[in-house]
Amino acid sequence: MLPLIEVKGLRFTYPDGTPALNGVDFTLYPGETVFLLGPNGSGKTTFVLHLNGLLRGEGLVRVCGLDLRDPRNLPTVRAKVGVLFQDPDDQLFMPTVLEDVAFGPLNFGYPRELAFQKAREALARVGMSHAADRAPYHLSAGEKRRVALAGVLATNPEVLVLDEPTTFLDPPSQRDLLCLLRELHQAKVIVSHDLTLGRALATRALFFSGGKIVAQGSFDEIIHRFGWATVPSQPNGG
Amino acid sequence: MHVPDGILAPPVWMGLATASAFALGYVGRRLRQQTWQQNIPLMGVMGAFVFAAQMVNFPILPGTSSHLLGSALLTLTLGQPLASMAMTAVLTLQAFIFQDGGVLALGANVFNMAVMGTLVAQWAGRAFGLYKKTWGAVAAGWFSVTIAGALAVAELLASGIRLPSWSVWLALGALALTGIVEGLLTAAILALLERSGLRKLETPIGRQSRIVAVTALLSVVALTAGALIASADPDILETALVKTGLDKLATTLLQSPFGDYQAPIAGPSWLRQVLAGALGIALIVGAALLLARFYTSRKKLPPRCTTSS
Amino acid sequence: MHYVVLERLSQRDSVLHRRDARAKIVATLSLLVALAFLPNSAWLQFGSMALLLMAATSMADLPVRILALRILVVLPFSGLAALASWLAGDPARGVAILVKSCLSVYLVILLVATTRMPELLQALKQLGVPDAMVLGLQFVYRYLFVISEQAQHMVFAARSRMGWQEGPSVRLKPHSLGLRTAAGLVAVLFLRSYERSDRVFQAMLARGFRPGQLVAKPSKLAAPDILFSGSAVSFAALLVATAKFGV
Repeated sequence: MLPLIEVKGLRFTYPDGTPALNGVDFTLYPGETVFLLGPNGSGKTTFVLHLNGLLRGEGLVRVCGLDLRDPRNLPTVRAKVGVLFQDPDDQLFMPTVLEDVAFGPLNFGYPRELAFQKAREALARVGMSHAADRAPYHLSAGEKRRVALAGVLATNPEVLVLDEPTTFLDPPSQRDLLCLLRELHQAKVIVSHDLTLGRALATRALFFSGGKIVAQGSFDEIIHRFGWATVPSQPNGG
Repeated sequence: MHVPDGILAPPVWMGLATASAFALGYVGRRLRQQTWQQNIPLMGVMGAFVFAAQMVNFPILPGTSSHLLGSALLTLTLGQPLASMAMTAVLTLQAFIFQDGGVLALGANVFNMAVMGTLVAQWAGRAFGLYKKTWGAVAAGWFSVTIAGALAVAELLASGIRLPSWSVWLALGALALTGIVEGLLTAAILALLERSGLRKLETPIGRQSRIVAVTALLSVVALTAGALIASADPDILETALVKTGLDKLATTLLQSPFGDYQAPIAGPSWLRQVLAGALGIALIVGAALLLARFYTSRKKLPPRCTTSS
Repeated sequence: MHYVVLERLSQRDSVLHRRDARAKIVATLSLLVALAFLPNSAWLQFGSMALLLMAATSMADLPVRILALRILVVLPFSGLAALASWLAGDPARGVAILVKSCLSVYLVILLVATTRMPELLQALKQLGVPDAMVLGLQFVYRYLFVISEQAQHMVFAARSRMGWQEGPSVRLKPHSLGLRTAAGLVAVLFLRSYERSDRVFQAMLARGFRPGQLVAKPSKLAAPDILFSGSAVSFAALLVATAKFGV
């Protein structure tokens, strides 16, 4: 089976000199759901911004066989890799929900009618058809997240990259999002420490530290190896 | 400072709207030559920031409070062209959503705050020291507020509204005070921004451009004062000219477009005042645009700080 | 926040709400221009304009009290200008300033209270405002609420750690802060907004943004819209003409 995403020896330093990635190797196959774990500032978000060429470091990044070092591949790659950003307010910037969801298809060159049809389908897919004409600002956090997801789905991506998708969501919205994600067939790269989400969806998990992948295994394995699901007992015995 | 509709005389708001449209068209062309697509979210989000920053009140004198106006801060951080566009977007939305400032008067408000306010901030910043120096920031804040406000007063007078002279002095005094607060706040914020590692967008300037900045600033100040005096009371201008012996020159100059200043042109006296004001303002616009073109054509904005493809 | 009230009103449905935004902009502008050109003593014309606007208010089924309160926003500026004019011995002009500016604001309020913001922006684009400016306006409007809310939260957070720092006779406004606190807060707000603009740009690129992609929605003006703006323009012309010929 051909990999969807291939990353070899990826290094990246921010313009102010902060090193963020120190040689990352990563492969994603169709049907996988990979969770990225690790402490804050370990390079997870920087890494996922490389997957559709928003950031470009040294090393190889190939998506569906297309090399990201060639800028001509960027439009295709960005349509194939849909990124859901951490704060939906950064992503929903058009005046109405429908226009926002149609933003991607229009930019990827779909004819106007088709773009809006795709947008309506995507809104229906996430159960937000009723909000098509509303302003994004007035939606709840869960609704914003779903509309942002629709904006990504509208271009038929093959890979979904989700950065902390359950932050700001209450438990019912988290559950709705989980069910929605489970139904989507795309391969997924998810940055999240949400235990419920990880146990339900992850086929594999990677642990980032200091800009490198230091461990990989099943979600539970990683969580337990690094002790992230347990609270240390009180030293005095309580 | 936001002039509402129903106050300015038609020649005044029409003239200023035209001037603003030309100035913005010029700025827009310059932005397009650079990476304007990246500038749109910057201009929009920073415009929204100005709105929000204006909500943060702090006390100045007992019983009164003030807030940042923001055109100097935006100019010193984003550069004059982008600051001008962002302030225009802010003023437009304020006119429509908040009814803060009129729709027909929008051209005048844009001229005062988004065009002259930012230009003067840029020149003052450069004239009083490089941007990182506190005095440059204080001066930029002070001039942006004071000049914009004085222009608004001049426009009222040029529209034929008779204001008691003490009220004009009161308004100018209040503006100067607000300007000090704006300047201090702008300097404090810039110092904090610099410490927190925001890479400065403006590069240090040379001696030559500093001379240009000083000249431009001085001529704007002189023309604003001239516009105020000419529209408040043409006679004052007359006396001053006679005293300094410039009357002959002025008469020749004024004779050509408008005939003798003393012998009024046909029409009511307010029309004469409007013409005097319009003349002053036209001079400012012309000088400012020429200087801006002269100055900005030699300088390019450096790239923004984060990488993006 | 108070301006949200007008936005909520614009979601309603009425004959005026249904008119094309372009038609409403043209109508508003022509009436504003007519007001600007009326002489100071055109009481008949001022009166008929007021009657027309009141009729429009009731047609659009808008709450009179809220609109009346909104009209008062011009008073700080116009009131002072009028007062000064009066003191300088020109009372007629002072009164005219008040009347004209109130009527002008009333017009703009009617436009905003009957037109949804996306439609207004779309109409500006259709009327020839450059793309970059319309997009800029769109972004300011979009992030206005988000960043204002951030500012609000930061002010609350600052206040909750400031205790009750009031001078003996100074009554602070609810959001009032010291100058230094205000500077720090605005600086942080600046950085957060600046970083947000980068993330927004990344989100735009991630969805394939290229300049020139955002085209105006093609839509034709319907007959009622043309009729509406046509009658507004002729009413405006009528007002100016009658005033000019001394009626």
